[in-house]
Amino acid sequence: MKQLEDFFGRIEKWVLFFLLGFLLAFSLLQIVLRNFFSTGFVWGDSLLRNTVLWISFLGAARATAEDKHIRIDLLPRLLPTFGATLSSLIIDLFSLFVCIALILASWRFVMDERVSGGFAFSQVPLWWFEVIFPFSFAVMLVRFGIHLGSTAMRMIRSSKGGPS
Amino acid sequence: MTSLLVVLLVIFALSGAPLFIVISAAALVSFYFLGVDLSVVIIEMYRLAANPMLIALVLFAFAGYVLAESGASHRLVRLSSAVFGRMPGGLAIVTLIVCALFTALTGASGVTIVALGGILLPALLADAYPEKFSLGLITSSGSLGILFPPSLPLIIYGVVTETNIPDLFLAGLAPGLFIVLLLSLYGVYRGKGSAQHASFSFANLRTAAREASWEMLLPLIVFGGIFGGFLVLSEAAAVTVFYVLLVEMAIHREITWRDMPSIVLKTAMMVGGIIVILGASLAFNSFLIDQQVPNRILELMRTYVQSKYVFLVILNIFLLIVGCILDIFSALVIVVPLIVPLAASYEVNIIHLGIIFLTNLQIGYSTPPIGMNLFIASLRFEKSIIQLSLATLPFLIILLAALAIITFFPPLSLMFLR
Repeated sequence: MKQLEDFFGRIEKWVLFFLLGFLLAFSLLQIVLRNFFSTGFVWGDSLLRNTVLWISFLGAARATAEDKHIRIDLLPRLLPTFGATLSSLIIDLFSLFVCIALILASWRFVMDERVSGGFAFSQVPLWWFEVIFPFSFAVMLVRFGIHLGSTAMRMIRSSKGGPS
Repeated sequence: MTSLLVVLLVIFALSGAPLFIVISAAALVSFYFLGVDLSVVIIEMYRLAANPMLIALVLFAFAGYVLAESGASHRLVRLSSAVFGRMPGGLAIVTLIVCALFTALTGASGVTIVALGGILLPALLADAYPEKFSLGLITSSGSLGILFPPSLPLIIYGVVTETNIPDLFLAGLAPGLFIVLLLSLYGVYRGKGSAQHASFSFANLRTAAREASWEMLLPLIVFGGIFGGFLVLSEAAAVTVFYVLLVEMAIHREITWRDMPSIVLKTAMMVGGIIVILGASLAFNSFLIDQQVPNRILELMRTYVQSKYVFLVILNIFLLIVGCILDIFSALVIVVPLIVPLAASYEVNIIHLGIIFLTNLQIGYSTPPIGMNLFIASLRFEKSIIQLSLATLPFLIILLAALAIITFFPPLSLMFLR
């Protein structure tokens, strides 16, 4: 399980690296084409905007693993350790549940788009880009699950008296 | 039932649930009760992909992280000490200017205190500035500069309100300089007794200027590109990244290819964290607008408040509270769409409103209980939040005075606009 997570983490890192590199290189190419050759790819902007969407949602999925989401943790600071652990469990369960709802909603969205058959540009269907929604929500689901599992384990261990 | 759900979501939010999860939940539940297919939430989120400004957001954030990892902060400190070092309060001014520049370039992501605090605090103490003053100065300077281009909060305000971002850049200049000036005067006043061992020398200045010259050209490129009409914002961002990579990788050689993946990851996590909240808020706001919530708030306001100035006072108090609770990015994304129609009905200029907003939120960074600057400084300098809050108090008072002037004197923000 740990190995699988590490492996996925490495792929994730390189995909993001590639996407950001592409975003930069293609933006620069567009500038050169427009300013010096008065031309450019009509579909370029759409492609770049969708690349940003991918970077953002993959980044958000990564942020779930590293606990880097923006949050207001006012109450847990006021609670004793046990209360804070318990509230972290409840929050993870809640996040898990919302992720499932988001996956269902985005799956439905992608399927609808597939049927209605819009194109992002030339022959590339829109829904190819939109799969990032169910995909990244699913990755978040797994990561909230892992976090939930490890918090629960910690709680069980500490209730048995000290770490083993 | 509805109010029970609202209370539950607020408790989840305050207990540390990711904000995008809480807002998504609010959107999903709202549309569920309306009987609308839930895929509408994702349709609203996908509107993000229609916004070309997000390209600029990602690229500027990336450039900021590259600069933060490089030695640019040291070079900026050296240059400004060579210029201001000998004046009374010189090092306080250096701190203010360097922090403002660095925050603007790195996009107010909280790296300023981490990157610069370690150099500036020992230097201030060595020059015999009181510890309390020095801590307060650095803590409150951590968010200074969010009014200067190309800071990410300015770009996000432009994205959310669909205003012209270059106009916002121009509008932020004078108020930003004004705040730096006020704080500098206080620094000079408090720094009268400080030691000034660094004597001014042209040789010193020349070396420092040569070292920092590549970075000093950066604002020129951003501004020249945009206002010279050569580049649109997202293109200026791409050129900025290219230039920063060239300077830090090829000229100073402080960043290598090996550092890239981790910098990319940091950028993606920060931008992703902001953009998912933005997406969820787009969905939830479309529900609120559908239910005419902004109109109802407007009517309510209109029955009690007639004057534009009273409205501005209430707005400032409200935003200061928001700034205490929310971080700047979520505050912008969540609150701005609700305030814009209100402000329009009181004839507050939308660009002026943006500057008021950001000034408030900048102050919110340093206010207890959960100002981000206080936390970062507390971690960095190993001081308690209470100690730091007391140290920042005089600076907060000055910032509040500046806020009042910025709010009630719109020309300060609007003078450079056509």
